[in-house]
Amino acid sequence: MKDLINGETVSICLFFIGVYGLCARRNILKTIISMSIMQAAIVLYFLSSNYESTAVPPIGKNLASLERVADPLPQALTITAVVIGVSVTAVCLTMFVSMFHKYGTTNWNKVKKKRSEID
Amino acid sequence: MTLLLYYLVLAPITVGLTQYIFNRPFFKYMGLLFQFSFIVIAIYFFSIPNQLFPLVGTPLPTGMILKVDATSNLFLFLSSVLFFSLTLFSNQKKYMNKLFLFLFMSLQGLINGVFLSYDLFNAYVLIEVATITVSILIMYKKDKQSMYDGMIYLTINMIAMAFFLFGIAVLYKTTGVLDFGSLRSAIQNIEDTKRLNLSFALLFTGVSIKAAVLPLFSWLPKAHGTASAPSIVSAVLSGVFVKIGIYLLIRIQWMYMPMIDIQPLVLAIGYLTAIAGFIFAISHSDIKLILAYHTVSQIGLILIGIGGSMEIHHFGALYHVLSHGIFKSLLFIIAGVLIYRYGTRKITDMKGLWQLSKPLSILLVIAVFSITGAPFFSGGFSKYLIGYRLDDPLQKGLLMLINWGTMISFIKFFYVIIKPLEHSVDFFSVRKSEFTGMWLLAAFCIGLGTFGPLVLDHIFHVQLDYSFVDQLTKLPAYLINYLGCYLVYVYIIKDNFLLKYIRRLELSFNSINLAIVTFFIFSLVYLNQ
Repeated sequence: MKDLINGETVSICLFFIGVYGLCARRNILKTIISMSIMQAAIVLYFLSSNYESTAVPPIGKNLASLERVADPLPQALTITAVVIGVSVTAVCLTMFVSMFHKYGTTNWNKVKKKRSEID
Repeated sequence: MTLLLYYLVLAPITVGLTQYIFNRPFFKYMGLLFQFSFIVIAIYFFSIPNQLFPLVGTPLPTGMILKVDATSNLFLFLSSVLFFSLTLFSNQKKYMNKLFLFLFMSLQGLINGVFLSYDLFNAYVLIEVATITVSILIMYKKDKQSMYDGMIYLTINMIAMAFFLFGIAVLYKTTGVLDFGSLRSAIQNIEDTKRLNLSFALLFTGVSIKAAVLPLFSWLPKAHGTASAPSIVSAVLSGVFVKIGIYLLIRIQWMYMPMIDIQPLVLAIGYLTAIAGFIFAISHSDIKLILAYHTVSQIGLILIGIGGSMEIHHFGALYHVLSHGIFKSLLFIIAGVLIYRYGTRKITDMKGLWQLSKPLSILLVIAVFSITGAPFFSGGFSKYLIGYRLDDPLQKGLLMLINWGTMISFIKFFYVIIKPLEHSVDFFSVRKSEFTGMWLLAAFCIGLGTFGPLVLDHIFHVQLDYSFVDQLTKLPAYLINYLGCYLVYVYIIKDNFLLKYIRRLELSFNSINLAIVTFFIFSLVYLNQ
């Protein structure tokens, strides 16, 4: 059981918790929160994917003499993914605010109903 | 040479930014000049396929490269032609202000970047940024409907990219590399193919949402047919942006071959998507929605080509990407002109176009002939390639059905031209610059069809025995088919009560997500068989 609680399994669970939120919640704000949970899960997966407890960070000179160096690529990718995730959330929230001003509701279905009345 | 590729990605963004800062009319023409240069570069690249250009000094798999080969260059050519003619079309329009131009040109740079990048993560980053740009363009006029359309578009596409990124993460853990070439060789060395299933299912789901296949296309008609975006945005979205999904699907399929072969699945999804697309298109009377649902149908047709058993079907699919991009853009901008002049989006209220503007009628006929697959037109040639020497009677029949569906849903467009005017419309003349853009696209529609075999030889180096006379002999069959479709439309489909129910079918946000999860689980189960 203890072995199961590692970065990978936790991140897969988190990802699908986010997906559940998307399927089951009608609140637009909760949708945005669910998307952030999915992003966080992916970041966790990247970081724990090639993790070794004895590895040394790849910083400084004389790396060749070290036996085990941590994989630096996931960290570089993660930082990009984090930045993109934050900006996407920001754009979503901005759009949500202006949509709320037009429709006056946070419920996807009510917005959809009002939208179909316009056509 | 490396500079040329940097140029393709960075020049549009830089030019857009310069326009935004200095805001002089002179820069608009500069932008056109730059866009023309992209077409020239794309044509030049056809003669030197398979070029690799390093972005950093380190070699692969740790370095980064841009790559242009026949497939990516085809997409590059499509995007260059579309952006050039669409900018030409809308050069004098009011909405072409500095912000719009900046967003529009940045989008071009980002799309070019996606087609040139040779690793999954770069493609992910570029698509994410392009998606944000597109959603701002969809909401450009900030009216009530477009807020919902843009929000649905943004959220669904972000979910797609989350699946895609998770797929990349899982694949990176299994293989330790990210570029297409190294991934392909790493995947081939894996003995237990079950280890690849999760990453493939995640990537496949992400890409399928982007490509808008059945049952994941609910976001597309909203975004592409939105009332508030200028028609050139719809044209770019349907013409080239939705093809990013197709492009990535081709790349992913290539990477996983022969360990995971999903040709039959792609083929089945293709037929279902194509049929669903035209059924929805027939049921609607909003001109932009008809075209948007038809994009879904044509995406299905492209997938049929990709899933085909012969190599020529694959080339047919790529050729259809090119021809569909061009004729659909032409249709969208003509639709934009018609909506503006008639003051309505309902196609049944548009009448007497031949009396009002003969050149516009001819352009519309060219576009409709292309999409319905008439001989001598681009759609006709690519559909011929997709159905090349098919032996299976079921597949033959289904392709025929899809073609009939397309013909039936475009009968309404002929009505626009033929039906007499009931009351006078203030139909002021179309600008010269608008016509130049449209005629350019129309010329491509005819050129890519009539000289199809030559173009195919130039792009893919495939010789095909399909002469002028062969095309001519197909003409009577086409006309008879169209007559049959007309009769079916008038006596069976028109005013059918079922259409009303189909028109009302629309998934809510939660149902779209449920469809995504179902699709993901289905593909995982399919792979684990």
